[in-house]
Amino acid sequence: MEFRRQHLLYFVTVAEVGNVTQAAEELHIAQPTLSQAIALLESDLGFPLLERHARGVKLTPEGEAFLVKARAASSAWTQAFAPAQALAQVRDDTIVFGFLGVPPGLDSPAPVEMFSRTYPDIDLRYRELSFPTLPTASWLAEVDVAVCHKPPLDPDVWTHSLRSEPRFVLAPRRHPLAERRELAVTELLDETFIGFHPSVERTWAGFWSLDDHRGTPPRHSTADRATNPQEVIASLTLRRAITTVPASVARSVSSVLPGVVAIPLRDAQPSMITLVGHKDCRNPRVAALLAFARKGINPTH
Amino acid sequence: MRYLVTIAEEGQVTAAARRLNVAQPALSQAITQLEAELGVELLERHHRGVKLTPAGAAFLLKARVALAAEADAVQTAEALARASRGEITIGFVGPPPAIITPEPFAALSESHPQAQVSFRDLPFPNGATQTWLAGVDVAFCHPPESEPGLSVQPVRTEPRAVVAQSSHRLAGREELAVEDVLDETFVSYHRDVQPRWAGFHSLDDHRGAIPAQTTNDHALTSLEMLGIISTSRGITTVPYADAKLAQQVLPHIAAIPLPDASPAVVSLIWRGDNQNPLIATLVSAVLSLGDLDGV
Repeated sequence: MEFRRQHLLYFVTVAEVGNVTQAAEELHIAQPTLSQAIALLESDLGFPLLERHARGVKLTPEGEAFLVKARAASSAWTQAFAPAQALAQVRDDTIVFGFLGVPPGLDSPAPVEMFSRTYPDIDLRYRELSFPTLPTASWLAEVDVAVCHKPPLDPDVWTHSLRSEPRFVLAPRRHPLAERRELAVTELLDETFIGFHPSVERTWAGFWSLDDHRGTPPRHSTADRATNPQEVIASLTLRRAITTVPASVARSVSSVLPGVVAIPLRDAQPSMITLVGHKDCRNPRVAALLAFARKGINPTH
Repeated sequence: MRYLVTIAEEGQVTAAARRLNVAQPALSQAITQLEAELGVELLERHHRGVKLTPAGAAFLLKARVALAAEADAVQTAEALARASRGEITIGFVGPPPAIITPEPFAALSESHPQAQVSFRDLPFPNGATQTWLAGVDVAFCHPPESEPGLSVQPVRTEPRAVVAQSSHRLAGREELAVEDVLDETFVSYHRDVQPRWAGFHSLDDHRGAIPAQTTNDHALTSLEMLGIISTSRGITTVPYADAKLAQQVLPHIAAIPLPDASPAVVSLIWRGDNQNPLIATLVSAVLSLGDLDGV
């Protein structure tokens, strides 16, 4: 089976926008061109992707199933081609270190300083990531390594567990639970949780809504589609909803934002803070970082 | 993309062009075009060849990730297309499964007379199991490496047999024990074959190590394996029914029961995200038969 690579991006855009005319505007192409491309893709694939309605388009069940994979492939290609400047800057003496929420050096500077002293010729650069999407390897495309709560396994990445951290509840100050000194999982299962964007890997997103304890997604979640920690925080300040975070994130958020409180969660499964990187990484400096982490003097704790 | 990979491997544009079977100027031009599109140099030109720049290496890494994601999208699309046409493709390793276990396939065509059932001969499991399953909806064999997202349904538990050339000194035996054969020369499996799969068939699970001696030739498919056995001292083990069938069909092959080896568990294996409803039909046909013990 063959189809044009470009058509994947077209299909993903139409599926996300829900309307061919608007999608064509976003892609800067003429609407008939887009319609034709989608029709061609459908004939290449051998099944219909869209149902056409008077007020827009809707995905067929096959279209829904294909969208997940088409999105992964198309975003991986975008990431491969887009950051030409970032590529141009890649040098042997640099490690690009991805993080979520709190920069590792800000949270606990000592190991990072020790690493820099041990390897003075390695230039550590930080890049903020959005929440993990599939496949994990393409989520990491912009960085050499990342530190975060354990992302989904992927044959193309390695992981190294650094430490486990208890989870905390984050709630807006005017939330009924905000006065509590400590909370238990059972008290929270029926609360309203902050919603994540559908592209965020489900098990990973679900962990923060306590799906691992409930066994299902929360009955109530907000209409938010958060893709990174800032968006979660922004939603928290607006809504009567909660989420959970690792202790280190809870500390820095509650010390910076007066409108948000962090409450220890007595009996939740801890978050596993993990170093994750590409298996076939050609950057020899990453090996030094991993060896440093394995010695137990991990650079983020 | 394939061009860039080949150049990186060969270290020379001329050698890469030869391997890719394209003209050298065309290859250089394609790379120049890619470099222009990206705005970075991908290759460093030296007097004795070329080398990836750090940016080229980084791009190659991302492009490989993208190619894998694209292959996964194609695999999913092909499965969706088969499902929408009422087709199911059943892969197998060894003899066609309907010869030895006809019941579930008969049940499938009886309950779904319109279904288009086709069979495909698969090489031994190699690489990631999910990728190995490309082109088929379900595979019928001793289970390959398990991975998250894979579903497995055992069909029959079956003793193993040694497969050897009919003039092999063990070929006349009524029956063999594992310790009689551990030190024999075994068929070598191709390096891409999953190590655990190859090891099971070479009795590594009993020996605790790989065989001391293996054939020079490496098998990637069942027929290659039989070819190597019929022309060498090498032996291997397979499910008893498969061995028996090979012996009936091929005059130079002998099958000798190996009752004390851990059994093979012939199973159906499929990707959990494959929504083809005929898979569920096949699985329930298997379940209704119960565990078929081997002959």
